[in-house]
Amino acid sequence: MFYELHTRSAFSFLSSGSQPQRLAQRTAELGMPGAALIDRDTVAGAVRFHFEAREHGIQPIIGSEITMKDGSVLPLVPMNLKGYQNLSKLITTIKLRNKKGEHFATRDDIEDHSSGLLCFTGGSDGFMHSSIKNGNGQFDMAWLNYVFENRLYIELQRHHLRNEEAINQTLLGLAHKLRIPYFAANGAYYADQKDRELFDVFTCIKNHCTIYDAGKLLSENGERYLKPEKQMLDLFEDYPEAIERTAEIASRVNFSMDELSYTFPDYKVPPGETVDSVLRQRTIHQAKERYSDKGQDIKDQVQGRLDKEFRVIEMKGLAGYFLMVADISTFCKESKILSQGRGSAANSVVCYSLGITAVEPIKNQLLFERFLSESYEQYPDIDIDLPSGDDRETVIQHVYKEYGERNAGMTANVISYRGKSAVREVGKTFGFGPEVLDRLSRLNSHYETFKGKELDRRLKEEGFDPAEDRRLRKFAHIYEQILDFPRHLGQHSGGMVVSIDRLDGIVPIEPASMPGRNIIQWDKDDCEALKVVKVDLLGLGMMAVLRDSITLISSHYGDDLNLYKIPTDDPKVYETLQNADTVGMFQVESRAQIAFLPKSKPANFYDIVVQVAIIRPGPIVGKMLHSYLKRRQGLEEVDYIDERLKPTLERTMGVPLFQEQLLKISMDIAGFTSNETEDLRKAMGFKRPGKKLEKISHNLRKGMDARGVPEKVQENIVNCVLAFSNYGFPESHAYSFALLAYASAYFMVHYRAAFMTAMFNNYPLGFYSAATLVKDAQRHGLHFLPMDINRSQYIFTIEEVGDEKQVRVGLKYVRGLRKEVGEAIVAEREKNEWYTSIADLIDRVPMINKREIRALSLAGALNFDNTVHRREALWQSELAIQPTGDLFEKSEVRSQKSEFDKKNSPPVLGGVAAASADGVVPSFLTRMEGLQLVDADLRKTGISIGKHPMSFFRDEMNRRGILSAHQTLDLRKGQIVSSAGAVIIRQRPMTANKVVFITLEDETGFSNFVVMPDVFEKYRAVINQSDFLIIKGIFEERGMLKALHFTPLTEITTEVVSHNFR
Amino acid sequence: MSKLHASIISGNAKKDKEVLLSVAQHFSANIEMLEDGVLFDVSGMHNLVGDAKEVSRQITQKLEAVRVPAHVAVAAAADTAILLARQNYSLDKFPQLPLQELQIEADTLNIFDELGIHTIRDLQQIPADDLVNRYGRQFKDVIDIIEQKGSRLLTPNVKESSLTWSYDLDFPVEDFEQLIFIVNHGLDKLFTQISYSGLSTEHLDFAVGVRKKEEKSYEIKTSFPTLERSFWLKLVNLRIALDPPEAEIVSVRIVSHFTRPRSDQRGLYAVSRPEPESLLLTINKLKKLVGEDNVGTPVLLDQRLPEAFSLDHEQLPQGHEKIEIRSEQLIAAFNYFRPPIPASVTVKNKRLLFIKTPHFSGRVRKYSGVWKKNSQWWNRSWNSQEWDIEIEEGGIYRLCKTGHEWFLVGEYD
Repeated sequence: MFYELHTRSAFSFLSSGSQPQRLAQRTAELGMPGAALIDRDTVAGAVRFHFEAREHGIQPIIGSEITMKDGSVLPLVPMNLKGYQNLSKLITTIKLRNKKGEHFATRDDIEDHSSGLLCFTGGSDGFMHSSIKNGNGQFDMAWLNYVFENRLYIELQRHHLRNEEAINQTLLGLAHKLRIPYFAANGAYYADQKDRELFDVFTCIKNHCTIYDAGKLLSENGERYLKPEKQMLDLFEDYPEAIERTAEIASRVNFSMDELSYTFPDYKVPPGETVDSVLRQRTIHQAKERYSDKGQDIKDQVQGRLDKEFRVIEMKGLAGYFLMVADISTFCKESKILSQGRGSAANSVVCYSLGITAVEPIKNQLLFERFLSESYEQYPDIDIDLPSGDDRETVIQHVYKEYGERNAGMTANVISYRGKSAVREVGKTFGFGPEVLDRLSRLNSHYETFKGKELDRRLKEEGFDPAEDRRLRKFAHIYEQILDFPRHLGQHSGGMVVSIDRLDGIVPIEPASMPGRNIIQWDKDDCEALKVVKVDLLGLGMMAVLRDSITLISSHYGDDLNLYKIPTDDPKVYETLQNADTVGMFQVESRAQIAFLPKSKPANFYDIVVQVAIIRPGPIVGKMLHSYLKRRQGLEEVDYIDERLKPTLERTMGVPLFQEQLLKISMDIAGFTSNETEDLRKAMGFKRPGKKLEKISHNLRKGMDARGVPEKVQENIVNCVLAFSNYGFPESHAYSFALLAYASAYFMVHYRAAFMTAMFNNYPLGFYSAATLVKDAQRHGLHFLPMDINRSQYIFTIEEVGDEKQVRVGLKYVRGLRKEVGEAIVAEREKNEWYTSIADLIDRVPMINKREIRALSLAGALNFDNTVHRREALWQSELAIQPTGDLFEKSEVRSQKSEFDKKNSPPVLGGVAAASADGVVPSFLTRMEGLQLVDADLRKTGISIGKHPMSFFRDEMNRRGILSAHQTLDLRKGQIVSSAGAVIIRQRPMTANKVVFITLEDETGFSNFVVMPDVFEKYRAVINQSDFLIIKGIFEERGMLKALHFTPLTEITTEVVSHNFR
Repeated sequence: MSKLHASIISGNAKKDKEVLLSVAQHFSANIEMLEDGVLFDVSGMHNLVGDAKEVSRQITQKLEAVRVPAHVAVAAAADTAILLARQNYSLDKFPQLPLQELQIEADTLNIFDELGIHTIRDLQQIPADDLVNRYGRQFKDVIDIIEQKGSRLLTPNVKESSLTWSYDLDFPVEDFEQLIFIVNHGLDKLFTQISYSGLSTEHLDFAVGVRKKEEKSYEIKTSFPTLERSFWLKLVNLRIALDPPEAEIVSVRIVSHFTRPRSDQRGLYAVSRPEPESLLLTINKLKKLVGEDNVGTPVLLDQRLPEAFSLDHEQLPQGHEKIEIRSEQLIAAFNYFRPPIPASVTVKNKRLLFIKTPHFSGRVRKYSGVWKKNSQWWNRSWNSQEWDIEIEEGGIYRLCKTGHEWFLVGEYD
């Protein structure tokens, strides 16, 4: 019986040609009883390998190769839980001790963590191979034998290489001399022989060379694939005992990843109290406050509901987890950080009472069972939305500090090869130059990735013919293979795992690229699979906007608002939503939402909850969107698929829109047990549901058959489940998002100046570029004041001009201006006096550099009350930034300054005084006008408060009969018109069957076009490469034209930030 | 007398170098060859040719006559002439020239663009002092070009670098050996003249005129300069023996390229070994014997190939003294058989038992392998299967299997 005890997966980044799942599959295909995954300094692929192996009924053995000081590796395999914990701690120790990518283990590290671990001598890059080559073989083998007494195995590898055999013979000599058992392995770096090519390409990427000059860095042959027992027996026919011993070793491994018991952080409680009693007391105490303004009927229900929730929480031993999350929420409140719990926690009165969530579950009929149930194994999922940026970082650092570096870590995000990165890296390997790489990269835009025959066709279109060129053929082949292979571990957007014992005993922790952050080696799905509970501390730009809006509203409008005290029945908000006037609002501003809102016409808070959830791939693919809309418009009769489902689907007019509804359906109509339901929930949430979903669909059908559900209904339900996999949206999430969406709409409608100021200060966020947001705000009557060195703050601010609140553009948007310089400019001005000239600015803010001065000049910040125009300011600045000796310029500047009494007075003469030595503006400097100004604004700040670039061409457009965006809104169906504008959106949704949506912007608003696949193919280059377009189209319905013809508008060259996506 | 410079810029200057030079020589003796053309002094041609425009016209005419497409410009300053020729601008369009064509830092160029200054005319509006104050003294060079006061001097760089001797025979000669005396005489004359200027040579272009055929040329180089006549004569003789002329010889021409003489001191106390001259002669004798392609310096290739080495025919032996550091590890030397020896091998139960070749046969006493190698899957993929075998009668060989055929590729020494 042969076990392959040394394999390496793609999680040994750039050192393997196979994913861990494929290794497990292949092991099973070859009839082997098990295999060991021993990735380099990581167990990142272990969870995937473990579950895939389990699926195929083989024994998964997990280990890791540890990098030693000399760069060689020492493979270690845990025999038991203690061994795994040691391995995990060892990896953590070496990773956290050194800079990222420079880690290694010392002999002391190995000795300290050796307990419970088996040690193998490794392959050609193994520790013992290196020792033997250095002449220290016997000494080092004796050391290993001492450290791993009776747990050391000599590993023999044969890859039909001449030079391997000498080392093997030396190893065998040592084995006999020191009485150490030996075994055979193939050191598989890939599952299938054909994967050797990908492995070679990874070698090139790792060594930054092309396949042509990689030379002897590449493998000598392709023998490092998984080999069946028969082949291994042939290979080791002279040492058959080496094959037999693999089974003996495998039998010594009594550790499985299933054993990893995760415990929640211990919570310190006063003597005589328990965690449960503390949770109970604290919740009841806080519930009184939270429910003080609620109706009596709700208050009456609270105690009963709390008792029920306490019972389940106590039963599951989750009180510590709730208290920990509550502490984070409390910390946020104390630190004045806006926070909101999200996820299924919104169904819990305990969470609401503790201030973790903002949605009141009783009034909103959210059932606790959907969060936690006593009848089945389920773990809580609490996400906390925080304002992105500093506030979120404060909370994360608080958690690290509170629980310790080795008890907390962010979950990893496995960054994989995607279209462009795959093209670039594989292309470089095949020696394509930058120009060709650019052309190849263009094959994959942000909103489409090609494979197979489609890829070949695109390559041909771009002038590359794979059929003619072997290099291109190989490139295309490897490119397809590399897609979705892990590239490196990044950090998840917010998932944090905290453990009572050292977390590094469960999963290795390593430093993230970002200073002060550590990540665990598993991603969200791995944690979920192993039931490791995490708290998601998610950064939401909109939370920061709302936080800042509340502060600005309080100081400029005198209204003291709170996110949870906004009236949810404001008619103006609903009117705005129904008119789809939602640019800048949270979750309801996308092109698809804008198209849907006038049809769905949300009229109450729950409609917004539906609105947030419905524009998702799940409902769209499952064809729920149109059904819901028709029923809402009264065009289709409401039915419930099956009468048994009426209670579940009543709120959504018989259309399943939420994940919870599908879970309930599976229980009601297919008789799913609680565990089956939990499996379904997991599969729907998984990024890679794979075969799980197939199995669940099968069970669903089986259950429905047993209950006599008609075939058509079955089909309908299974399709819904499949559509929801990966894209399903839980109702509890939708509630939390709807709250933020409503708040953003409320602030936008009633406090536009404050909301937009907050938006700009927290940009980037949302769907649109800052330039588009400015134009939209201007169309709604908001006025902006120009950037001014003497009036602007670093951030955007509100200024009162008469009765009107106007927004002053902040210095923050000047491209290339360092934050500390911008803040120093403002601080110096506020401390002393206004700046009188560029020379004065440079004298008082010496840290400013010439690029920053130039940028400020061109952005119009140095106009000194229009006494200096932009080019003049730039010309002056060129002289002012010349380095000068102390004796000259400073005294000159000082003497100039002394001429003015500038304190609190505008520098009317200052600018002129500094214009030139004789005060005359040089005649060769012409003032920027019209489009030039807009162009300079957009290039230097990304926004312009001047006219829209299209307005400069309006007369010409009118002459040519080209309509403005506003004119295209309402036309006769079938009417053919043209419209022109800046391309701000190109979208090719995965759900839209290759249809592309394009949005143009001009000074009157937006025009939307749908581009059918054949038209898109015809005009692909023009569409993808033009910033401004004239589109001829046929009017379909309000706000939507079907594009027929595209012409680039080359006269305008101003910058356009387009949102291109799938 | 005001200065006047002409510049010819060609897209194919390397190829047209000789023609450009001859055109320039027609107008001036003061010539500087540029990478992309030629610059020459045409001052004082007012009476002889005419004004700058006329000079330009005549140069263009000459170029047209020899059918060399090139741009011509004539201006007072050398820089300006080069600039105009490179951009194909005439002097009267000079102010319209975009600033990008001047040697201005990208950063400064961007600033000019932002200031709305795009052409030389725009820049001419700005007082020179203002520009120098902002962009430093080095910007003076740009201003000088604009004002046609360029400080660039013409540096004549066309000078003799070789010496030629030629001899036309009264009657054709079939055998080169018959010409040795004449060639010896020619070399003597050339080397005597070269030695007068304290120079030497390491490169001869030897050409023989062949009856009713094109001249046949031989390039002969050594890795060291020498004026040793007999040595060169032997080299010439060996070279011609390798590739003799196809018909009777009617003329001989030798071009000797100058170089600085050898700097190392030789033979003061002891004879240095090996004499580079004799080594080179030996190599050439070997080439004559085994063919040019089979002599060279062995070079290991950093590639996964069946035989990862090649012969560098160009590289000449360097003659550096090398101190051998003997490795303690025993390294087996390996002799390749050229060509590989076909063999028939008896295999039973996947075991190699007996080998038979045209030269020997015997029982396989021991063997190791199979050793598999393959690579170059992106190009021309190859793979090999090899065994190391020990024959009972002695000798360890490398056995290779290609398809169904067996070969002995070499022997371990």
